[in-house]
Amino acid sequence: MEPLYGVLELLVLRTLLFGPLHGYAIAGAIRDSSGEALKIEFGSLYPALKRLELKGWITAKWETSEHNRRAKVYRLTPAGRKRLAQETSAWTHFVSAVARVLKPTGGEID
Amino acid sequence: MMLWRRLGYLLPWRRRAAERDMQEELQSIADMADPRELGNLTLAAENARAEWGWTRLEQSLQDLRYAIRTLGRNPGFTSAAVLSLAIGIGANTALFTLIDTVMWKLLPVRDPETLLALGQQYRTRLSNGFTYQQYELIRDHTQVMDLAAYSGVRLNVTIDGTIEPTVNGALVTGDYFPLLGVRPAVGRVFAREDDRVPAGHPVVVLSDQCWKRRFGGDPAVLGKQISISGVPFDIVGVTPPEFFGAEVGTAPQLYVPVMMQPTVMPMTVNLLDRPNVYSDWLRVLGRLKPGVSSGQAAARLDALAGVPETDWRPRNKFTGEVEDVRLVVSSAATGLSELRRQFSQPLFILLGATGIVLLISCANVGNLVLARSATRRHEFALRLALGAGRSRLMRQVFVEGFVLSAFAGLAGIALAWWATQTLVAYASVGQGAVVLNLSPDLRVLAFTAVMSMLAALLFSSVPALRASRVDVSPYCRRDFVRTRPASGPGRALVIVQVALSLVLLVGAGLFVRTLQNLNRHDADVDQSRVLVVRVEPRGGTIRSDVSGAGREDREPPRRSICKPRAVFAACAQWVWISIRNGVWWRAAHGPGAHRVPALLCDHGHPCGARARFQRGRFAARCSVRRAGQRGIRAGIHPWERAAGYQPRLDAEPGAIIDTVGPPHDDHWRGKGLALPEPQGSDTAHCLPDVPSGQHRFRADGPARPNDARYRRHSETRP
Repeated sequence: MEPLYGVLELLVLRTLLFGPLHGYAIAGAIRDSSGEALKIEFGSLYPALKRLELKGWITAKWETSEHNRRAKVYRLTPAGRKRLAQETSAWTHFVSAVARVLKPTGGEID
Repeated sequence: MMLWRRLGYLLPWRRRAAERDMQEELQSIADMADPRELGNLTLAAENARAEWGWTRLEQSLQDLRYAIRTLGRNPGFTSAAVLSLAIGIGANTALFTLIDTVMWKLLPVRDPETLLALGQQYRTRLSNGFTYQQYELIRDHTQVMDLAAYSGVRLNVTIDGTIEPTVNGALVTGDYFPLLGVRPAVGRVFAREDDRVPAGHPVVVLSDQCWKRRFGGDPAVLGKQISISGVPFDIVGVTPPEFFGAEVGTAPQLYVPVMMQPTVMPMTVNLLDRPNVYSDWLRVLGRLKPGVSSGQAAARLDALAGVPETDWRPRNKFTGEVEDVRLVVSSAATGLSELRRQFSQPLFILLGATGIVLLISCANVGNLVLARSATRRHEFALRLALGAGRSRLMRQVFVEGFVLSAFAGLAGIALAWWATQTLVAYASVGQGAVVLNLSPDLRVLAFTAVMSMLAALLFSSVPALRASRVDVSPYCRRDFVRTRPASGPGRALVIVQVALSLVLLVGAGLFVRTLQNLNRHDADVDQSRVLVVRVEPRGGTIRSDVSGAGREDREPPRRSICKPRAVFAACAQWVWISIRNGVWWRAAHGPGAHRVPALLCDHGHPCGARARFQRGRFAARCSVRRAGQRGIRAGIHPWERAAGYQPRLDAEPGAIIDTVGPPHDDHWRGKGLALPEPQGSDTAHCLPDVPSGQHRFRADGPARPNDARYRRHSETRP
């Protein structure tokens, strides 16, 4: 399996799984769902969005919101959905592997 | 998928649309959010643009635009730099074109790599010439090679009743075109059936050039008749445009079967019949038969000489013994060429010289750029202060260099085109016109491009290094005063430049001196106002046995042609334009005949030289030894003796003649045999073919070869 491209991308894909959002809302959603732990600036999120769009995992469309505001809304594509599944399992593997290293089951460390 | 999207961004309008879209999106986000939360949006946009993947290209384009703008604003600097570089690049391109054409280009025939040339390897020299008898013998008995032969020939052509200027043609065997794999552009080329019976195939194939020039490229030319040496020949086909025979530097206009040799060369002996071992006039080309290795072929060729009936070896002219000579095979992929032998070394030496010229122009331009970059320090400092990277500044300098050298390369190609034509015209003065296909091909263009690139890298490197070291701080101070910087690399460059220029100047001086000396050596006779006229038989009526040509035949052309404005006229077998042209006593009769350097001329001739040489002073002295005795000097002056058609030596037949040239010139030294006088004639053996020889005139004004008067007169003569 390919190494993880970037955590940020994973978070974006995961966030969009629940429905289409515009760029600023994505940043907010990540912040909220992480319990304010991950505060991602829109400035750093934006290039990641463009990258995902270029890879064809998300698409963007101009839409008008209920407040009659135009915003560019991103949504997951089928390819992105597949990618998210792969990345999620890779991430789980990675995390558990790191966790095994950090918490050895043997008694070497007291 | 991603690649396609990326490529999409390569289109400027797509990129502009994306840019607009992005700005709009960022604006919409900025409208709805607190600016503090958003972070640096400019940076975000910059990074997003980087995602499209063409940032570098875009920056390069910016650099390019900027470079063109800057250069455009300094027309003086730009034109000086471009001109300087164009001379260097143009000279190199010209030389490369010549070398490529003369030495490296493959012949435009089928599978040139497998084409071979047959040669005779003597102990000390290699000869590519064969007699027809040798060719026949080898062709019929090798069994390992397919062979064909050709020979250059000057043809006397009449088209529609008009005499054409003498045409370079080729006599080719029937296997020639099939072996080379030449497909006709129109009609057909010769096959074996076109070359079976001596004098029995009056057919001719035109070259593309001749067809277009003389017949306007008319396909109806097939079946038309032209007359060669008075005999009508049918035009059967036209060769393709790229084909110029197998010899680089010549381009036959007409191809005639070898079997027609006696017909088209009525003044010469029948070379097909007469096993004249001394006139090896044919060049032999070949290809290995399928499945034959080169080793087998060499063994078979060696074996030929061992069997009496296939022994092709010539006999020594003096002793009559069989010569120690082997058949050798060499690649003819790039064709045979007299030019190559003659010019390859000078061309490479010249290439070296032009390389130095390019180096100097690089140093020159480098210096100019450096001087300019000193005045541009402020600009660079400002750009640095505004956040440009030092690498970006260096890139800017390099891009400017590339733009300069790109323009110079274009100008250089134009210059090279002109220079090669001029050089070839210079080389083809005289009889042997040099015909080369010099149109720049891809290889030449690639060479020029690489040269330009290298030049740009070379002359930009120092200024770029300087640009990267610009110190921002002094320029930002308010009390900044422009001072002239002490320029380390600049000074070094000047030293290099002066040193190189000096070397080149000396080299060029020596080169020009050599060239002048060579020319002066040739021009021991004052060449100004001299017109050379060749008189050629119209053909048909002239017997191939020429010994009957009497004095009456020689006299009239001289008298009538030179009448209008000539102050002097002379008639000689060879024209005394240059010693290297060879003025040989052609003692063609008798056993052991040898060519003695001497001049066959009539009484007008020495006068021609009088402008610079007093009569007799320049005459070669001949000392004659009787066989077995040494040192009896007869003190003959061939020029004097030759006057009045009496080139008789006061030597008994069989005596060995030492000829001694003018004191400063080794060219005349030689040995020869005095020949028995032919019975009943004092001159016939010495001046056998003067009517077809060349005649010199000194006009009282500048001689113009195309002077209609001379032409008319020369045409009216048979």
